[in-house]
Amino acid sequence: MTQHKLEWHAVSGGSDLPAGSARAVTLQGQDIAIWRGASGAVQAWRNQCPHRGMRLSFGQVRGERLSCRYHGWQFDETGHCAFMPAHRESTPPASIRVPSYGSMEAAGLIWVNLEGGEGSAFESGAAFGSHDLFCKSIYVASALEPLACRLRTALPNGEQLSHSLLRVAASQEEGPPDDLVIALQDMTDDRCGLHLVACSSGAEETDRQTRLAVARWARRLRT
Amino acid sequence: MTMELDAAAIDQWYVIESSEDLPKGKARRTRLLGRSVVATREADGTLAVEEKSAEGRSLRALPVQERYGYVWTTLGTPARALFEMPEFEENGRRLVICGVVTVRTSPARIVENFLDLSHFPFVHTNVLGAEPLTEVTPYKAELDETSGELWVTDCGFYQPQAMAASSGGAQVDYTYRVPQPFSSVLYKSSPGKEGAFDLVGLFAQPLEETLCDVHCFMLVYDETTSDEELIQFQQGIFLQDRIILENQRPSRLPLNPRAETPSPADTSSIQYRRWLRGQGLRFGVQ
Amino acid sequence: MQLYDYILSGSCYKVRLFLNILGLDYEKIPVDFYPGRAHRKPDYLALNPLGQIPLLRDGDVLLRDAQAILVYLASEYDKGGTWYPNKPATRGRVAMWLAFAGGEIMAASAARLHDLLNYPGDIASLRAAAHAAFLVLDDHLAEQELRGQDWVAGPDPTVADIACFPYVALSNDGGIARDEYPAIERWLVRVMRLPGFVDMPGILVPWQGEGSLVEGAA
Repeated sequence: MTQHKLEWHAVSGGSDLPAGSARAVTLQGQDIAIWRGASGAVQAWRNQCPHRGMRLSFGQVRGERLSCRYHGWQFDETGHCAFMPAHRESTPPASIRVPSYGSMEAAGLIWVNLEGGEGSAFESGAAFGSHDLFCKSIYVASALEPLACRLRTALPNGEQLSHSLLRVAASQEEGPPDDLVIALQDMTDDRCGLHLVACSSGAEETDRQTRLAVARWARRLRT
Repeated sequence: MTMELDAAAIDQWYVIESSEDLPKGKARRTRLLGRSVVATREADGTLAVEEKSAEGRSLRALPVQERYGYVWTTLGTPARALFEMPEFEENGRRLVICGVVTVRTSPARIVENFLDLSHFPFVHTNVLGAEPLTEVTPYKAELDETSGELWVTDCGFYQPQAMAASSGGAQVDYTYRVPQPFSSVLYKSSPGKEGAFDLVGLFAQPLEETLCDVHCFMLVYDETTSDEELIQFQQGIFLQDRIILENQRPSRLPLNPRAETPSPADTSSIQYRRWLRGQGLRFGVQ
Repeated sequence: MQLYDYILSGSCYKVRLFLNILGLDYEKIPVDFYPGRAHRKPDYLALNPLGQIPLLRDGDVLLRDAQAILVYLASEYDKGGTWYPNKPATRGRVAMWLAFAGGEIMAASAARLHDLLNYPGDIASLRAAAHAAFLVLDDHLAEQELRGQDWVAGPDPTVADIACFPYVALSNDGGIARDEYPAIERWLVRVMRLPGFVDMPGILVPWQGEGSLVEGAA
């Protein structure tokens, strides 16, 4: 895998991870469980329970904890095991912990930093400007570089902002119905995610129409 | 390319078909430890198992025996005879063959899960367990030096519906016997006969390192439940396990004690892994 | 009422699920689909010459095909009339997604039978066909949400949701991950929170909250 300068990678639309849910995402070949507690906080963890290896993305979110589907071990937001149901009265050793990645929510998307991300800057913030209305994720059978190249040439008014960010201006022809920033997710050598973000108008109904129009337009990016 | 097989895996007896699924004049082509094998029952009843090359050429005849409702073979030279199950001679028991289910994981992950108590409330919710009754009371897992078998004893668990014939929740006693690495038999309190134990058997046939056909049988004291009901009960339980088994990472069972983190409730798993390590098993483990 | 049933069949589960939602009592007649292949034997073929499960008997009514059974049950027993609505456009949409449930989505069932019970089939093309169907469903459900509608055929759950649910929810059994279908995932959770919902082996239900303790537990 190539190492990219950009440390934060978009892995999901924020609204595609509702409170109380977990989902599996792939980033540079890594299997990652992202989940959101009842209060809205997002975590990104290695998708493997330290106990018996079960993928944690299959787990149940219970309040601010993620409960493994296999034996019900519960992990708190720091990744520490907080409860082992087979030993209800005992406190789990502090050493039991799920390895975690950096995670944050910005510009309508969920971002993961494989190096941990504590204190590291979110370089993409400027590129998004006022774009924060997540519209749709599209998945394509392609490596990242050729996909970015193809999109740049196929879309009029396309501008590559970084290795994995494109800005596309609205246009009457082939372009999107609204100005977009597209964040690319390098999943594997032959799979990529595209996360499309428009500008919010501040009015709910208008935003809904924007999301519908962009979602419909976005389907053409699959081919 | 054929992988090099370790003695611990190769010198075992494996189920490759149930007797009832191999009637006269029928052949079954299958895989065993990454090799092609074909079991044939001639019109006169003669049973034969052959190893085939990838092109389908006969390589050699393999040993075969038919016991406990199944056809057994081996690719090696087992040091011991096939383990005895005297319960098959007991009057009043009924043998029900519950079919074969394919699972994409290693045989050792499958057997370890079979020996696991603490998953009942989470995987078999409202059937073999239910929150908040999740506590696993201490039990024993020991190597029987004479037989070389692993035995897990003194297990007890509250189960809402322990068997197909159960009429409600009950505290159920369990014993597990692991006569060879990829075969296990469970003895659990019989709802059909006071003080007796029903048997549930699991034989993993490794097709490849991380792909298995799992054969299940029940040997029960139960005169009321139909075969169909018993089979569906057992298949339902196994399908609940299957989605877990296929989503454990890695698929090969880690034998390094530091690779995964057990709790005291995992005594059976700890001893099973130690037992496999002691045998020098390499197939389907890491 | 009698249901000829097999626990691992997603099609039988469509009927079990809906009967439970409607709160109807029925008798299960277990069919030894596997390993016995009882659905291909003369006794069963006399009832359903197509040799398929499920089969429902209700008095003089004998019906095959899960979608047909759902339509019958809703028409006969859903007094509110919401599960199979009268309104022509809605009913048309329900019929459209019922056909999808019995058509395109069944590629996921075939992939599952292949992986589970060694049924024949080209697994790569079965999975590709299932993914193509899931993509259509995910796009549709995402748009439905933006229209303020939570269900496949409109603002209320219908038999079309019940018919589409099982083989989507069971897709992992056939090696079909749903990581790329977030709108499907949200819809599955909505179905699983319907009053009267029951699961089947292979379906992973969300947490029901503290206090949802189990009947029968001491």
